[in-house]
Amino acid sequence: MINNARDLVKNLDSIASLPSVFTRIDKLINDSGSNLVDIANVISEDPGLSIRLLKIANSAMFNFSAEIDSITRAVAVIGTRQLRDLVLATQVISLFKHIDSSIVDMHSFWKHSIATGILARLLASYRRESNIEYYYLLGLLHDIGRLVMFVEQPALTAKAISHRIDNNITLHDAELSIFGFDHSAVGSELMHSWDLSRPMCEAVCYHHRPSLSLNYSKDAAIIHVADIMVNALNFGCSGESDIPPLEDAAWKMLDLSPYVLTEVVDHLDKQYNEVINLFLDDES
Amino acid sequence: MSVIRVSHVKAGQIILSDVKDRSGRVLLPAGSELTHENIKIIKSWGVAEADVDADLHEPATRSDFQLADIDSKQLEHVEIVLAKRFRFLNKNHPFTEELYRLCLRRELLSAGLIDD
Repeated sequence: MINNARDLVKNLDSIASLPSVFTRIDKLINDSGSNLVDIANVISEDPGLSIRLLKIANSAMFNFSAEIDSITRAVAVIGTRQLRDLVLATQVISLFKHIDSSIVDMHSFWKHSIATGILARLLASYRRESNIEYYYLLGLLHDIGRLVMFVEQPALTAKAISHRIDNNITLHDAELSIFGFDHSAVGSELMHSWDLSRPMCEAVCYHHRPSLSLNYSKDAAIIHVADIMVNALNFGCSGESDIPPLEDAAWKMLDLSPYVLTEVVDHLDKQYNEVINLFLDDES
Repeated sequence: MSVIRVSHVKAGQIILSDVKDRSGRVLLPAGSELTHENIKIIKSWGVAEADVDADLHEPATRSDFQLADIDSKQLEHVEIVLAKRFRFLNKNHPFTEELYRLCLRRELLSAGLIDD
């Protein structure tokens, strides 16, 4: 019997732990004796990862005028924390590679997640946030709890889906009725089990109700608004077929004019195909 | 007075309240006249809206394309699909109005009912 999100994640045996390269970079960043070259060396040990990061650094996501031709240069130009978050973003998708596409359309799931990441990153840049890659990563991760629910509890998930249709509610609300908890709590517990930071877990946990987050409501609000926009624009699907409701307080927290949306979506259109190819090329 | 999107302001209009960047720095004080030059500057600072003396009332939706030219059956079909997708959102919220306008435009474009 699964009573809460923590129980569901505790019983997981099918989802691997995080690759060590992320934790090693994270340790180096927090070690004042380390430098850029140490971080670049850890990344360079993995040639596949290095090539992928260089492609990302030279993509429309960054639009640098000069070519970034080495990992050391990428670390210097993009920033250590930013690169750490991109490393995790490139690796998290492959952790769920084994999920059978008859259970979840993984390609569509990641399209939704990547588009949410790109939009969250763009909204963060309009707000002049310092590490915008962090928001890309949060967007990518925001619905991973749903994968756990689909894989571990297919019968209850099917029940939630029909409950949604019968009652004309969002899948998020249907999860709460059928499971007693939702995918944001499951995702947050999974990230916690990976030892990801508390701010990240909390932002994902409250991405449907940002104002309930005690400390990271602004981060949750950025993901909340990005998720709503992606559902409206119909980029991929993570299970929700309609747009989840907007929390007015979350929109106000962003402190942006609605008139930025056109420009933000223009940027999304320009980056989307390239970023999808960069992150999904051999994973789908 | 009308708060309008910066892409719609025109040289010669007068700014009615200070135009500020995200950090609150005033880029153009109230009373300034817009010129091609300073419009370019406020755009490059990421300013999205400005309060100008033009008496423009932007319709909440449907502002940059002519719905009158579209076959009403086809338009109705697109609007029904969108209304279902938007049904959990408060339609009078400024964010939702803008998002709906954007989505309507995209759907009409992809259906080949309007030109880019």
